[in-house]
Amino acid sequence: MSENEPVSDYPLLRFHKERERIVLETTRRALQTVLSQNQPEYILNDACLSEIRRLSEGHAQEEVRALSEWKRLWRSLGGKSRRMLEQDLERLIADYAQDVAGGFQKHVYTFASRVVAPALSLLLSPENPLKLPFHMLQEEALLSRLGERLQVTGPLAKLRALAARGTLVCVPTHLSNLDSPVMGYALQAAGLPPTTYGAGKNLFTNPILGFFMRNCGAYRVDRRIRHELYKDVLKTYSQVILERGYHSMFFPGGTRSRSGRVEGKLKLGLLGTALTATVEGFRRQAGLANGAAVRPIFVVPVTINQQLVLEAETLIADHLKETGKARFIIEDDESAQWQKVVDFARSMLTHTGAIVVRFSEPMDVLGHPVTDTGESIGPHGQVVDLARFFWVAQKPTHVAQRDTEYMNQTGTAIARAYRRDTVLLPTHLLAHVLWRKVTAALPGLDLYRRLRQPLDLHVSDADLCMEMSRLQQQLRNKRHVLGPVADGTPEQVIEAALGAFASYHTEPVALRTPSQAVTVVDRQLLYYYQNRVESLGDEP
Amino acid sequence: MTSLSVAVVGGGRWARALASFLLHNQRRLPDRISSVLHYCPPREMLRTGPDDNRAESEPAQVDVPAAIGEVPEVHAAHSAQQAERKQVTTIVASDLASADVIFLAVPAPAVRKVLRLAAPHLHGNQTAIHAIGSVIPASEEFPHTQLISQAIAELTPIRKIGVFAGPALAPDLEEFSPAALVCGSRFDEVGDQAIQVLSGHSLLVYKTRDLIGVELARAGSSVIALAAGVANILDLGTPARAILITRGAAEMARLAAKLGAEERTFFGLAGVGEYVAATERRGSADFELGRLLGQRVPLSDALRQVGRVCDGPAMVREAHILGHKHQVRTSIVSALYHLLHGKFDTKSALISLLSTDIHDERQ
Repeated sequence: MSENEPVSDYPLLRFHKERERIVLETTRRALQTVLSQNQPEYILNDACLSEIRRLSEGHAQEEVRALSEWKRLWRSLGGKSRRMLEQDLERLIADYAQDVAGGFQKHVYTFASRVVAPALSLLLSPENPLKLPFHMLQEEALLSRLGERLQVTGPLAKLRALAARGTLVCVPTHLSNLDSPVMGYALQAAGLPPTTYGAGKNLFTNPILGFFMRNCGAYRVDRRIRHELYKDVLKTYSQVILERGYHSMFFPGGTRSRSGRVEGKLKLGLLGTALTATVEGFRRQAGLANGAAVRPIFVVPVTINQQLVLEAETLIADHLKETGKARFIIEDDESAQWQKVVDFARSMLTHTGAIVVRFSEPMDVLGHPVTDTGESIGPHGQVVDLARFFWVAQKPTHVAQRDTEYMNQTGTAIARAYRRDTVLLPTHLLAHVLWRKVTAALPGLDLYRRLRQPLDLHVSDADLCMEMSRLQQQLRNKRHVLGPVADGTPEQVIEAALGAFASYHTEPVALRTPSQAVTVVDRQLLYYYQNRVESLGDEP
Repeated sequence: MTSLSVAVVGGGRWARALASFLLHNQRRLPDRISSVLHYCPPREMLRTGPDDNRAESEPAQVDVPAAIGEVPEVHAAHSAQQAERKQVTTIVASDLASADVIFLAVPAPAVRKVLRLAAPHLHGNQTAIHAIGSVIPASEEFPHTQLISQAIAELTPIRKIGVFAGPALAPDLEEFSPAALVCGSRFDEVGDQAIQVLSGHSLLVYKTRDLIGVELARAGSSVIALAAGVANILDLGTPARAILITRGAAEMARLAAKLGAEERTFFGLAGVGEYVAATERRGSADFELGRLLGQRVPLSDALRQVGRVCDGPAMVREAHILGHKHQVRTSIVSALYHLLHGKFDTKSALISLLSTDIHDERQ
């Protein structure tokens, strides 16, 4: 297969055939893992108590077990033999595994990816579709319109070659619930295979997103369940599908960035399964474990850069709440409101380069860069043998503490890639320049006062242009990536940003006044968008 | 337990003492150590360097028991006979590939060069533990101050990196007098390997995950030794030494905490433990340097007279800059800094060393 052809044969196509086997293998191995660490009554006790507490407090929704069942199970634990307890545990794990395993139907995926994208761009195009000339209505023309709005960049040919050779684990930055559909589109546009990914179970009940996700390879992660057993099942599931070569996607930020900052601290739990699966593969290769060969796993950091963020208002408001009041799971934000989504999509589709998805250089599970053929490159610039990093007395071995530390290092490598490959867009730059002005106008205040203190700030166009040009130069010197338009003249950047700011949010973030100046309207959102720029200076 | 092949890299006295000590352990405990290798990097590499202020302070590494591989870059003498007689095997850089654990003890300014030379022969399953009491100062080649562990990670494929600190001077290892080392590493395996090959007999080996803490505690010892040398020549007595050790540890701990270290590491073997040994009369080169500076010998002359590698002056400079950057009060470091730059006479330097306007011990 040539490097320039899209990958057409991908493992998700056989998921429906393998689904039951995957669930069975997950159950068997998760049971083995948890029993090697603890007694079954403790594991069940912990799960029961955690679930009884949660379900007594909140409303139940699509639960694996009802509150009464948990209570019955918990009361019965005392009198059971070890064998019976193990059977209970196995049943519970099997139910969780069934719940987690998503679905993938090729015809739905094809429908979603081939029809919905052009349909969206047609429906939302500013012109009346009936007046467009016929050739513009053809699929390619519509897709190319979307392609202008949503750009996909990075070492795509190399990624296609690696996807044919091994398993990709995409790890994008996370700002919005639209990120997963956007990634779905970006993978397709890049000629890369679709990935499976863990999506919050709450998103499946979202009427808009649920439709896209249910059959596009997502598996379900119930973030409300806090006990260890469930997490072990999730990790085992992820490991099993990676070992079977399913391209995967995780959002290592764990949840949408509330502040708008590029993620620095990453949650490495699920990503760690890529490392465990890799070690398992080396063990099988060396005849130390049974099972089919595991294809090499490549980690691909991705930055999803958005000119505007659908849920920005809700997210930044949550970020600025007093500590302890912030919510881990937000279900009632803009992404659950049709009108908001349509407004957003309309705004997005009228601005060139409104979303830029940038794939970073792929790395191995330890964060080493890899060659076009997937070999790991050491810091000294020479090929290194990845298997050796997992040796104990010349044999590939699972060592939990070592692998945790390895994961931390990979996490740092990913966070660095995010900073290197974040694409800055006009709104980020204008917000940063204006935020500096706000800071200068309100010196010595803490963030909260700086956001609330009355302020009548007018920045003249000339001043703004000068500051913008200076910021662009600073960012270029530090080798940050300026996206489409953001790399243009200061005037172009400012116009594009003001246009975008006026097009979607309840109130425009900043406005041009009649007196050739710009004034800030929503300081909270200004802070949110400027955080993108500011967080690039953090040392991960 | 699998027996390990260990290699010592370095030509100085401590490196040689460590190699002999390992050999002794191998004879006693053959199931722990399979072979002891010694690699002495080329002399010119250890001696020169664009920013090496010790260039003229050689001949270094003179007082060395010449038994162990005196001539560097000789040949891979892996003869079966030698292995049977259990000797330290002198090796060339490429033989480092066969070592499981590599101990690195070369002067800080030579570290990057030695690592570059060795890197092509190193692998991801190896462990590197260094015992270098300094950091790599910023230079034209590398604009930031760098920890030795960072240099190892940056230049070689090795990930399992550790560092030694503690009261175990070369004479202690040579004479088998009781001594102790702490091995700091993010990887538990590294500490376990250090314990496997070194502990027992006269040497206690502990482990901790606070890599940066151990590394900076070790680097701080040259500063404390320098100050103690000044105090010694002025005959200030034991209490003054005790003040330097404890307040010095507190100062280093404050500074290191800004870089991610745990403060408590500085009040254990790696910090106070090492400082007690380093501030002794027979102690380090920096102690001798301090004594000479206390007698108003100019720095360059003093360095020549000591004739051994002194990390103190460079570390004082680094700590001074770091203290400024992170706004940490560093009274001992500042006093030494001014002394080294001739801004203080000895007496006022000492007053400043041992005086404070802060009377809360926790500050």
